[in-house]
Amino acid sequence: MEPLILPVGKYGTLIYIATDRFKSELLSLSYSVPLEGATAQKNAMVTALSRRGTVTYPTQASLNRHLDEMYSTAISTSNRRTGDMQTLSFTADFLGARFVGGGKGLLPEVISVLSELVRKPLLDENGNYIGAFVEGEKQVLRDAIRAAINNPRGFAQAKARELLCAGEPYGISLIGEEDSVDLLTPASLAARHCALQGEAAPLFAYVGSMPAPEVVALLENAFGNFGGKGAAYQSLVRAHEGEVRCGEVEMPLQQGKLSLGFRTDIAANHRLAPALLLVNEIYGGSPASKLFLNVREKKSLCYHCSSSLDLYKGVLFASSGMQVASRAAAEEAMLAEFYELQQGNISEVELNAAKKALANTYRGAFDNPAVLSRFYMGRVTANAFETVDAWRERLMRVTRAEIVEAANHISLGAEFFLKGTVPSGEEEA
Amino acid sequence: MKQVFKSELLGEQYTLFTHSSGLRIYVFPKKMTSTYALLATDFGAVDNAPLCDGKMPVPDGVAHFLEHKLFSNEDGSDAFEHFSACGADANAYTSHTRTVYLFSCTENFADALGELVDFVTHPYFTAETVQKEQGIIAEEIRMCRDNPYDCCYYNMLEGLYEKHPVKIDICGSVSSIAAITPEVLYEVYQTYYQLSNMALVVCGDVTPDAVFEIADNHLPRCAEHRIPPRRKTLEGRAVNRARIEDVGQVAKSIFSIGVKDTAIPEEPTERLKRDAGMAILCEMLFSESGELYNTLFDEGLISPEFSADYALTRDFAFLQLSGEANDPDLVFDRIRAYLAKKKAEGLCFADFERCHRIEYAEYIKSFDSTEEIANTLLSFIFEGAELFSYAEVLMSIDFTFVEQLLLEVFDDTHYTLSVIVPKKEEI
Repeated sequence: MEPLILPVGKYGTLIYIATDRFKSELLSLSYSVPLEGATAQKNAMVTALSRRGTVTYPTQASLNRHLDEMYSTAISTSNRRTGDMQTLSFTADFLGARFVGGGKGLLPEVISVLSELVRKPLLDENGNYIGAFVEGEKQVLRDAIRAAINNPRGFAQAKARELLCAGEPYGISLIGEEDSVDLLTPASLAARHCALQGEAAPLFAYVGSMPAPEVVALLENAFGNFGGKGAAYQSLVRAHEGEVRCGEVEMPLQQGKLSLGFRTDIAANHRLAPALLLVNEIYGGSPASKLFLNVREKKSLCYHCSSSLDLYKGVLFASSGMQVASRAAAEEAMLAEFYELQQGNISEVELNAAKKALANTYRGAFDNPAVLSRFYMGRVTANAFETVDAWRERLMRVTRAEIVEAANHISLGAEFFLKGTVPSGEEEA
Repeated sequence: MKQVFKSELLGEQYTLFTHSSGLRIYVFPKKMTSTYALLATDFGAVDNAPLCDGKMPVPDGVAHFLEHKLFSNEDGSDAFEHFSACGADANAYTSHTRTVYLFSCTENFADALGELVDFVTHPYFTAETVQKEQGIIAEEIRMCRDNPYDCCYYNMLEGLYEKHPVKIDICGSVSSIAAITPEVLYEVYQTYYQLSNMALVVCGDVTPDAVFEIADNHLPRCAEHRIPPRRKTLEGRAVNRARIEDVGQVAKSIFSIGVKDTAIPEEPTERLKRDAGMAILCEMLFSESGELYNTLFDEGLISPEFSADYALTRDFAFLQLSGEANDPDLVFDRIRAYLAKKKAEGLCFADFERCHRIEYAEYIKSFDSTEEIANTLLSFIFEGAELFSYAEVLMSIDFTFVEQLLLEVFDDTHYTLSVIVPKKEEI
């Protein structure tokens, strides 16, 4: 399942992955634009509004019913970071041709619907979005912004990210702030949609069994003149300098949630990128990691204690939930494990376990079209293309010295504590 | 004993072996990179009948506690470490009705499968390790208490059921797990972890005979066969409480409407038919393509995330409708009015055909993942049904059957509303 990278029309690119392994197929369209405070929220709104109504499917209900008729084709949207870029995606998951009567199957119709969603939103006679749709989506957006508190762990990590990357695109919210929602209008959003149409370079990914020339032809027919050159990929990747930035907020919760933000000058294109992935894996990436085995299992300080890495930005977050009184002990233990890693205290068992876990993850990617396409879309967007197998082989060649070297490129930059204020004794009624 | 099940529609097949120890071994060959295996016992949070002739109470949360503790080996090692050494990704979960130990791997399958069978069949508990686990699980319980969606779900179950143990928190409480001792764990283990009460399911690029041989090398020749105690809790259709409200860390109220269903067929195929019929009916009534969702959403009464999930086991059944709303009571009223209208007017046949097709497509798509196949197969095994028969059952469902379900399931006395409202200062 080696991918082919093919041009589509003037500005588009297709990541084509041929396989008949699955009963369903996947087609996604994404475009990445610089993540900026002035446009991030509008971009999120334009993406959401596409589901409200199009020229052919003027209501959400009519669009959903059409997708139902297409053997329950699902089209999801996403809004995420790739480095300091905002990546907006539409992903269709649909039954393969052999289960829907053969022929070309559902792909032509899926492409037609995707094109409709992206290019033909329902507009009024003045070329603006429908007012009622905009007002409805504004309320959904306000709710989503406020709902950050519903997920305490995610809230703590978002705050740590804001502290760690303050003043940078990565530090801003992908859905913006509540006070700017009121300023959104049908006209300003239509203008943003129009601008995206002209500036974004479409990136497609297809995982399925239709021959590549036919897929390209179908895409060019629907998207041939769509988009523009696209903005150059950007991601400010650097180690943290200066004091550790600290934040704390109280909430009526039983636990405290601690998020530690680390930063490095290593990202996907760096020679130590595979070593960085292993640093995260050994530190807190799995149940065989230092955080899990030592902070959770040996010290019994918490249930959840893990770390995650964004390879495109070079940031790593370690998070944990514990009784408020145990915050200092948990933080000390989490940092101590990290310093152990920096000092090279990595056992043979830990190293092998981490390599095998990552090998398993990347071999397993071939079983999941969504994982496979996301891997390549990230790589193409960040100009860091390599195949899954080549990446896995690089991971397997990483030495202990490289892991220690990568770990010493990392420094703590931020810590955020969400302090629970509900007494954590026996809380049963 | 060996039995092969085939599906022409899907082009798939799987094999069942019944091992001399009583363990049922299911192997579903699938040309994928990852192989997924699970070893499960038909024992979950609802199984709380007292043991030792009624002398030993079973504390709430013991199934989940046991799941955690089985990973600790007698030599002081942790099963996770062994799986990691094989490059396998291991995990476990406990639900209302079962406990499942699992792994996925892309190499060293035989070693990983041996480890799975070994650690689950060799319990080792001491007072010290039990005490340590109490600390970890207490934090898990607190974490769940901080999750408003979990709280809303359990309040919904409390609203539906007066005494059925499905309403017990799967993790138990800080005080209930404090009563767990090694003796309790050993007794529970001996009762519910008999191999005849368990199933091994493997899906991946493997052959049935090879899997059987590996498992056979790690299993005893024979084992005790006792039928575990099952407490049958009989409940009427009426709900325990019609409304439960709690305050939580939410920006906007979240709600969970429960619909109690007690008409549970004894016969597995009939249960399967009811389950499939309810899946079609829920799609017709509550999906994003339907009248109800779009009306409520367009009026701004609900947030986009609105879901309907029907759960049916041999012992309990309920439908859950979940979402976010500024006024959950108004949404509840509108849903009840809509259901009453549908009952009076009847369903639309075109909707039935569309939703029937959706269920067919979803069934086929579910055979693209070794993890999903293994877990779905397990559900069928413990419910006494056969996986491939679902397609036939689905095809046998007609419009009249679904209309009958509508009339039977939805009634004002079967509903409960659970709401988590924001704290005042957060509004």
